[in-house]
Amino acid sequence: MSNESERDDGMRARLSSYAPSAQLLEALDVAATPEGLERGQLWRAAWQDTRALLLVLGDAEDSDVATRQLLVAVVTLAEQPAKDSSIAFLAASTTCFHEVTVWPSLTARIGTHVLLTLVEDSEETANLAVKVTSVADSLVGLGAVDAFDPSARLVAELADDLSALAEAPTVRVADPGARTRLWDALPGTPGEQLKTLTVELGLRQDQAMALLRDQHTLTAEQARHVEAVYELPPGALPDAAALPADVVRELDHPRWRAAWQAAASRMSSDEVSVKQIFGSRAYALAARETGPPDWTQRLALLLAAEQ
Amino acid sequence: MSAADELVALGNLGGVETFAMLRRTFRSASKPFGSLTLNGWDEDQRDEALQAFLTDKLVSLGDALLVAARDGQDAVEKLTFRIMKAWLQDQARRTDFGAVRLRLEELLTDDRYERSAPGTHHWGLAGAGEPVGPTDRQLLEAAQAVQVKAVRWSSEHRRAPMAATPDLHRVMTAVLTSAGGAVDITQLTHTFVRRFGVVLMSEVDLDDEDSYPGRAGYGPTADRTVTLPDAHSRARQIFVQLTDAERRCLLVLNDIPRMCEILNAKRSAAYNVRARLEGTLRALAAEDVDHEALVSELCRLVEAGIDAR
Repeated sequence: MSNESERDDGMRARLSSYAPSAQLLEALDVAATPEGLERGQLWRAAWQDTRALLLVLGDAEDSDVATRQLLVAVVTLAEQPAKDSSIAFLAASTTCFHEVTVWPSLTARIGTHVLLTLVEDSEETANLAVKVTSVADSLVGLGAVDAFDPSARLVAELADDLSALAEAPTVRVADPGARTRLWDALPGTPGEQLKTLTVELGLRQDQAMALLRDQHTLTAEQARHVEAVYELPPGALPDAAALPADVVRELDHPRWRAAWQAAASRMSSDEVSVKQIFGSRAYALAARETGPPDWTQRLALLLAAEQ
Repeated sequence: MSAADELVALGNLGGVETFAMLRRTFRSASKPFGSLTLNGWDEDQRDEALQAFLTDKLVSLGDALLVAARDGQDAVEKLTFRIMKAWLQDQARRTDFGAVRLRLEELLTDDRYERSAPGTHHWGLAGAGEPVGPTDRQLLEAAQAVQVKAVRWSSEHRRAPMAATPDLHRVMTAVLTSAGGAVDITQLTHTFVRRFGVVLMSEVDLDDEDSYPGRAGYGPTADRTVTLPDAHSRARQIFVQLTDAERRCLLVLNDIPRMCEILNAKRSAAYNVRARLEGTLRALAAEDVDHEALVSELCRLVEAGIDAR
């Protein structure tokens, strides 16, 4: 046997000696999305071509965003600061992973819409979240990483990924003070409203009626045009691009993530547009019903009907 | 079947495609690190390095790839490349780091320094007292405040000294004075590595002497000619340390979007590269060299490299 094939056999034998934990395999195969999003959960997150593992530290407090935001820290596997780096980190073994590295200097607020699947929710990860929070607090005000730190470039790349996730767009939340029903928001009598919509937007009467009955929603472009006609401020009219905060919170829950990705692929569209479409439909359905809406149920029905 | 598909299907690293991907990626990641061997990579040395990598990183790498595999082949290859490159950088740096530490241990045998207690690794100025815990930034600032003369070095086989011995003593004295007590030698080594980072050249082939001080090349310079550096040769010393992308970034340091394109990276990574390049140029300004001629020559080398492509 040649040296090369002996070497190859040796390396392949070494590779074969690796055995993941049963809990990791189960977590990756089941791809769970629990109801509650809580401190200590370790999630896979993704947006476009950005990927990360994120440890939930808790709800982002004092957020001025109407939808739910979480405070998270970056977690890596097989990557940690160099031995001669001064960058703070925490390393630990968990139920799923032989070793994780958490980066207290890499924390951010993210929307729940970038979460993909829960990987681990254990006592170890919960303890890590507590420790990270206290270490992160002590790092505030210490200034930027030294550019010549041997791990500065890695930190910069991880920070870029975290920024991409934090800035990932989602459905716009409608101004809570704005009117949510078109017939309520437009001035004039129902007849005058109907005439304006048919004339200004070039719609047929039945299409205009459907808008006034909340069976359909104005596009953002249509809404801005009609606002200009009536000299209303932008955002005064409800449009498909903006939905109430509670609808958006439901749309952004990770239980729907796979469905939005699949729908975007089927419809040759993007996740935000797909969420807008299904969210608008769910909202229009709710307008015809009494009682508090169950957005989860409505979205499930709409998705089932679509497929 | 891609390596990612195979990882998902098998749930381990034993597949053919996975092995091929690891080998291929290591070949690509290891290209700039020829200094880890005497004469650049051959297949045997590369495979040995890959085996060493797998010995160090197998378990955590396995976990990382199983997770990344759910995101597809691109995610697997990108992550593998990054992990391998970081490991190789660590190996290269250990060589530099070890060499600097040896030189400092030699320096500290001088009577002006003493250990805080017998057998410890804390060193201070004679009579300085107990160990203290200064910040890295404080020590680095003290080291950078000392102007030193760059050493002209013509050997193609040995590392250039950080600085002449008297200058090293001046820097050490400034650092220990700033600390106000005894400092761990590892922290002192970090400080000197960063202070003299522009000089350390991992790309230079090592001398083939087997003795560690010889290999380190940081021996006393009393018996060597120390002359003021020529700006052109200094520029060349810096030029060879930079990657191709970093060289091209020198011409567009104020254009972050352009740097992102060149580096195929995002904002923070581009800012980091810019900070390092600017830090390198600032450190050069502290040396006794014609700074304008040096920068001009550096730009000429970069442009010649671009034209040659």
